[in-house]
Amino acid sequence: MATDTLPSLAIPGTILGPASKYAAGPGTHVYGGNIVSSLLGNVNVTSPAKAPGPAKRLNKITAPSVEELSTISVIRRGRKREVLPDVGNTVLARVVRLMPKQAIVVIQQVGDTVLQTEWQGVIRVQDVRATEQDKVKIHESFKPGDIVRAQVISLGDQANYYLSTASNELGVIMATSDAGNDMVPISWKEFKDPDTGVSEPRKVAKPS
Amino acid sequence: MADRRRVNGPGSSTLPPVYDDGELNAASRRQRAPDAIRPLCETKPIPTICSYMSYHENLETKTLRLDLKTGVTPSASGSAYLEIEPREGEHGSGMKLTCTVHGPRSLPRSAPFSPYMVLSTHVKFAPFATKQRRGYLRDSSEKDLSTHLETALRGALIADRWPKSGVDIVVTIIEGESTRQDAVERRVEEWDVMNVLGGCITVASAAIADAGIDCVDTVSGGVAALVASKDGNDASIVLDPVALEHESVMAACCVAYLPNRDEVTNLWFKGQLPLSASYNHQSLVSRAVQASRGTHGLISASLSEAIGSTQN
Amino acid sequence: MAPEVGLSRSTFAKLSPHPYLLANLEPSDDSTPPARSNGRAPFEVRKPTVNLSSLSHAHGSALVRTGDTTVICGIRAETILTENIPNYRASNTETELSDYDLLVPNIELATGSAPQFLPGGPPTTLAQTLSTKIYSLLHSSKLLRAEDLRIWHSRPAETSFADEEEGAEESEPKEGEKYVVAYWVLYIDLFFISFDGNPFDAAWAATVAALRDTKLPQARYDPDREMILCSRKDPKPLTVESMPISCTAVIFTGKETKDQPADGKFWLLADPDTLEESLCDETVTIVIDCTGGSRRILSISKHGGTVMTAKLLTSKEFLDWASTRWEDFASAITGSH
Repeated sequence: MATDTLPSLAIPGTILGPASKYAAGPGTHVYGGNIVSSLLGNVNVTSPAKAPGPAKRLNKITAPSVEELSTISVIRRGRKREVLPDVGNTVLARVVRLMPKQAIVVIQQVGDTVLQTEWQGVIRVQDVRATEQDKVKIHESFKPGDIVRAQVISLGDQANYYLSTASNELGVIMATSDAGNDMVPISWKEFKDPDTGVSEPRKVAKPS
Repeated sequence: MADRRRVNGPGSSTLPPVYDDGELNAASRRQRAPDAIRPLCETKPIPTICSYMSYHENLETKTLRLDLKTGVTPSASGSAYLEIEPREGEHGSGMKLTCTVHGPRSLPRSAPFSPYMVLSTHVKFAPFATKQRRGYLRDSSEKDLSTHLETALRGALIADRWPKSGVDIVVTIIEGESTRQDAVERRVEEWDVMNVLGGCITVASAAIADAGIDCVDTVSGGVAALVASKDGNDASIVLDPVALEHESVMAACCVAYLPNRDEVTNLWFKGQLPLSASYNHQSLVSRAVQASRGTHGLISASLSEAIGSTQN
Repeated sequence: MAPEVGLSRSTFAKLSPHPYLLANLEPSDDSTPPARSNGRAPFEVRKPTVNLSSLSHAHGSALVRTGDTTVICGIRAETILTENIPNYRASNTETELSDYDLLVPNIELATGSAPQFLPGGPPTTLAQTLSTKIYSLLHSSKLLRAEDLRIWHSRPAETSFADEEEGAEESEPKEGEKYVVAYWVLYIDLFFISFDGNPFDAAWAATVAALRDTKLPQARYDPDREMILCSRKDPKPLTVESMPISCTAVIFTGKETKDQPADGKFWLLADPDTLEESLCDETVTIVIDCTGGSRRILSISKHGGTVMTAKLLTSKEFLDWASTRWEDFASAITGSH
């Protein structure tokens, strides 16, 4: 692989290599037949994942498909960059407001990345549980201040990402009781205050 | 109506000092320059990046010293500080600009859905940036600069990578050019606005790169002007003009230029070209592009150095 | 805290900053010294750095940086004729600075200095409060002498003005006598370039440093043109003999909700950053001047909470801390000349 011809650092606009030899990864775009950096950072080249087992015999002459090309990406090491929540991401969010048919949350973390800015999300009543959806009540599932693990199911409308907790691993992971103490989960639907002994209903995430 | 949310001072208006003994001579002004200009930028452990550039291609080649660094405002998503020092042996002060980038972040609740990143730019002069004290409310020249900056940057951003998000770009001019009293008297500030815009584009470009927002290219600003010489007849084009140096400025042009794509995202042309002149609009624009190529060299050098130094 | 979920440090800090700070200040393991979330010891401050005269359009300027808080102060002097001051009385030689509003400090945070300070609106409550605090401290500290701001003029012997205002009965200036024809007004503009907590200490230090850097032009009155004319030769520095320095700390109680009984445990966090300011209700600011070796307290203000007692405020430990902080700032300001 002719990686030695690639620059190690790139700024937006740096030409990294021909699009016929490389595939465009994160932090790059294709312009005029070349992979061009769109970020400030370090240039990485990742070889294509080797197909398991012996390579298929080629009985046709074909241009190498995208999967067979090395991917160039530009990533700034040692510095956090803003990320956007995307469909399928697991996020951590704080519940801010309850409404009869939905809970409003603020997304705090996407995957492993702690966010600097806050994005609003909504968990609709039909997205709280996978089963018995008609029996779910929002105020028996969340309380303002709870930390919820959820999945992004849609980019939503102008203001909200749509989130779901309809899975065993998803739901409330941290909750505070009315008395102000941290509570511990005791079942799939209840948290308990260890000091006062009072339990409160929640959509509890299965402890990992 | 006075703004009750600020301290307004004496009710009747005050006057800036009026001098009757003319300008300090250049020599005594230079005395305080070496350490007077430096200090502002000692803000980060990143080594000082100075690029000595000489892109004056007219007869007397002069050196313009630029200093650019990123990360001056750690709580912002990205930030940059640009300082342009006055040329050796010249009058006038340099230019100092800071830029902060905030975002991408969620749009306000009232905003309509946008599949792209929504860009908003703010350019503000500090009250102590210019010869005349500026107020805190945005005036028309600041709004003008904001609009030009917005178009200059919009052409470089890959806005569809950041759906339904907004980014705020704030440029604060800590010091603009034209120190001298003559500047006011000879009404050359209007030409200085061109240089300020060039600086705004350059500093914002570096701050956006620092913030990690996708761009097709590193946009950079460049200015060229058609000036008349002392005898009043000989016209010539200069890059990064200092309006005061020349008897009169006939026209000036500021471009925002993408060097790797050879595209201009914003062009601002002011003034009138003399009918007889052998110079036309294209030649002025192409010299402005040449100036921005020079600026681009500086941005790339300092950005590369910035990531290089945070590696280890 | 939250033992049931295995969260990373950064996640824990983001989701529950309060318990995170508490956990850092009260390490379960004795080998780790107590520290704040930012790595500083409770009483540790961010060392200030000061640069003077970096602006060429201002009569005096200073840039002060403490950690990630950076503020630049530019001072501009303009003149106002006494005849244009509505409440002018020639006999007033005590309270000119405040009566005629000759000091005009303003703070601008909306430079994007932090994500919450973006331009486009009126000044935030914080910016207004800070401007007012600087304003009142400028006056109450008697930092400046009115004499430095007076512009004198000798009345020519042959002319006499009968249009002096209501102060006439007191001491009508005699012919040929010197009188104050105008004042300098100091516009003190403070721009935050970067904001990470404790804005007042930095802004006040920048104000003091910039005033010490300020030189006013020689000025005289031109009776024919009825205006003040200045000379560029030999500008005169302001007389700033004292060096009041503001020292701020917040009190962290380890309890998130106020309605809980406090168990008496608390930490004094000196020179707080933005995160710490958001987690603490109680703030104490002491303005101190140790010029010449003696310790003078100019003001103590305390807001919110009930932890900080009068005994604690006058304790040797607290005052010694303030004196050390004064040394830091004073040497940074004087050392940068």
